[in-house]
Amino acid sequence: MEIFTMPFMIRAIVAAGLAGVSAPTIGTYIVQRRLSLLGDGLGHVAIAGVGLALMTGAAPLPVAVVVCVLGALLIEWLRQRGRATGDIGLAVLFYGGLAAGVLMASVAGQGAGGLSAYLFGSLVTMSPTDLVIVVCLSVVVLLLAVGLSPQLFAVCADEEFARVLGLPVRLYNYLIVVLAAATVTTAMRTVGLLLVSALMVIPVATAQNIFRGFWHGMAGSMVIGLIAALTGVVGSYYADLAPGALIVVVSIVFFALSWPLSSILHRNHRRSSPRGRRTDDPATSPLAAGKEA
Amino acid sequence: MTPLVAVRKLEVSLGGAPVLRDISAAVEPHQIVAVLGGNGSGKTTLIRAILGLIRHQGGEIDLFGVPQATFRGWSTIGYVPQRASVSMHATTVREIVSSGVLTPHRFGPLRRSERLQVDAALDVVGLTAEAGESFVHLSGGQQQRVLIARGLVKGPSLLVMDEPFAGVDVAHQREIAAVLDSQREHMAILIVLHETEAMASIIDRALVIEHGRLAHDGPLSGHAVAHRHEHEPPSRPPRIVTEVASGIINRHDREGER
Repeated sequence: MEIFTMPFMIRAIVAAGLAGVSAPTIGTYIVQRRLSLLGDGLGHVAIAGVGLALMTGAAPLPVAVVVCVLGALLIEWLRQRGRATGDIGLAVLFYGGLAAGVLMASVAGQGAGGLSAYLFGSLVTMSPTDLVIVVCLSVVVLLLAVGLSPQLFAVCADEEFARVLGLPVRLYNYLIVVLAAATVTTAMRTVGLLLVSALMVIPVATAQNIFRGFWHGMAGSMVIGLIAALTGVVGSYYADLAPGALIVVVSIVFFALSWPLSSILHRNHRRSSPRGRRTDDPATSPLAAGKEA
Repeated sequence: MTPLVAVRKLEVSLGGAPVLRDISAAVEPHQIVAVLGGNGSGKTTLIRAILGLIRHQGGEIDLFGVPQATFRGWSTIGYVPQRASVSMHATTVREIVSSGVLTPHRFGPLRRSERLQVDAALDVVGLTAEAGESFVHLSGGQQQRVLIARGLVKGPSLLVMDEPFAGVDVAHQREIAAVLDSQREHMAILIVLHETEAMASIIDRALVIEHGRLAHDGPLSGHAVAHRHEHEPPSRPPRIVTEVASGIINRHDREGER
């Protein structure tokens, strides 16, 4: 357990654990909205923030947070006004953010290589100040994403119905992308900006294979994401690998294992389910029975 | 008695093209009012305008006697959208119905009374046993009943439904019609329909829209036609409402000529 005697590893483990929990939490909403690649687009915008920080000599994490949040607000504003479809908006984010980041890093004299630690994660780059920012932002993301889960679920599942309920749908849509932007940037030190989207989507898909229901799926994805993140960080220390890549590979392994598990669970469920009686059959439904009675 | 919905000289354009013109109609308490018309006639646009989901360019809409712009009693209105418009994968029946109890200023988990409301709504549509099932694993008719339960869960005074029978066979349409008929003493229902067979016997009034204009506002005169259709072989495609609507209009024209 020598890794727990090294401050940089403790910081990396704490940051990765928080990313492993918060990324799938906000990812659950993004997957429900069928915007699974939003995290990838926001990761590319954050690269522009890192490039800007390298060029100006500012701390990369706060600048990346601000730039990524502004980019997220812009893409949601365009989406809500119908000025850009989700695909086009994400494409602009992908290429514009990446190009701007590389250009500004080049101007700073670091080139694309200077961005490497931010693109794929690094165990040694997390400073104590970075950790404070990561903890604060992660706590805010988790509190809002879990505390407002009924409202955010309603908006993601059926936006028009949520509007008829009188919910502030526009506000909640902005909140979801801002939380996603904050999550992407807080995970950039450990998972990396190019790989963080995987941590937002794959644990969610894995949990949806195993658990039934939105909230069970969200809770399951948080546990799966946490295990994948911790396994990846600790494993990368011993194997001397990029932590982000290992976290994603572990997540994919869990996803692959969830398929046979899902088949077993569904088979058992079908045996014990009342749907074995198929109540959509008019002859056996309670409504029909009531009418006959 | 104040109408639950009062529309006066409503004008709606979408993308600059007029869709509804000079529509005036009302929905009274405990009435079941059907909005009929062919594809693209403006049926869905009318109810979306009434619910404030799209803006209207002219005329007035009052809800419960209050101008729509200042109306705040959305909890008194239940909404059942078209099934294709919802994204419900990895979601259980109970979760979907539970989302119907939300209000703008209500936060936190469901209270016991709200859980009982959800149970009651599931019971009304006959899906208590399926409460823990995934929505996407249900049949089309069951999915529609889930959305109806979500619309009913708050005990609304007005239930607005957009083509709830789309993709649902006639037998299940009759089941849903029975559910709606059982609720009429509690609420009025404004329902967009493409087929009237299952609902014909419980519809109080029909609003027939043709090319964006109100062509008929009165009893469902095509009732006899739709009722007779029940005895036709099941393999025959269901009679679409445009035929019923044109029958109404032709009959009115003939009566006018006399």
